[in-house]
Amino acid sequence: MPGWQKFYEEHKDKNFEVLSIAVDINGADVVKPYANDFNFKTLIDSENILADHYGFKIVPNAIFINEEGKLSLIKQGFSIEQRAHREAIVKLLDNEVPCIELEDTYYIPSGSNGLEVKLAETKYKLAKEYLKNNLKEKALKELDEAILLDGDNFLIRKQRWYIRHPEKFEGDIDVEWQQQQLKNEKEEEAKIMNPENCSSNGCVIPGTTKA
Amino acid sequence: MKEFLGTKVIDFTFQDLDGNTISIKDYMGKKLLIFMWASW
Repeated sequence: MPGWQKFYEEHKDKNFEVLSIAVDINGADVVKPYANDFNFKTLIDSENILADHYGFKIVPNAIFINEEGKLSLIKQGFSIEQRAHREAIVKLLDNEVPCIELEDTYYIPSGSNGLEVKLAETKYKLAKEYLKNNLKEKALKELDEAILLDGDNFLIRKQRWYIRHPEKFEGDIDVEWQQQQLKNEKEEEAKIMNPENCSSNGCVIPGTTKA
Repeated sequence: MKEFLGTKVIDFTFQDLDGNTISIKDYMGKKLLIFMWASW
């Protein structure tokens, strides 16, 4: 991740640190190969603690914390390669503004039921324990149930894909495969959640005329 | 999400790649840019 290194070099005299936090249910062993060329401290959040607290449903994200320990920026879909994102951080580092909101929207999940989201979080944590004990199928069952409760959560969705199909994530990530996988899964989930809207021809948006 | 602007960051403690426990408290008093990512 050269962009980060370059950015840090340019601004490191401003009393700031970069902390990399990797999310992976399987922890350090899985993350290490990807963090090798990173000169920053990398921590592992294997239970989605940060994501669940701040409402992140996808990565990559950034949180900027000022010297008083308060949030000056929180951005789902942050990229150091994007000029507007980079410039926002520079403004914060230079103390030009106390807080910044970035206007671009990376992902708008549809509203989730609070209790269902909480149950999904619990299932995720249970899945992690199963995986630690080598009970992969039990873990996947919990994750499959979690995605039904929090269908917009890509941290859960993609983690399942990675466990089932690690080969799709080696080297260049197979985006087409992911799109197809998402489409298939969304249809399956709609059938389970709203069977009256689905037939063997696929699912229909409620209120529209069936062909 | 923007309702968290101006609030204190939550107290978290995670392990680094060598298994050491690191707390967000260790970074108090510095500007900190946290970058969250995944290998997938």
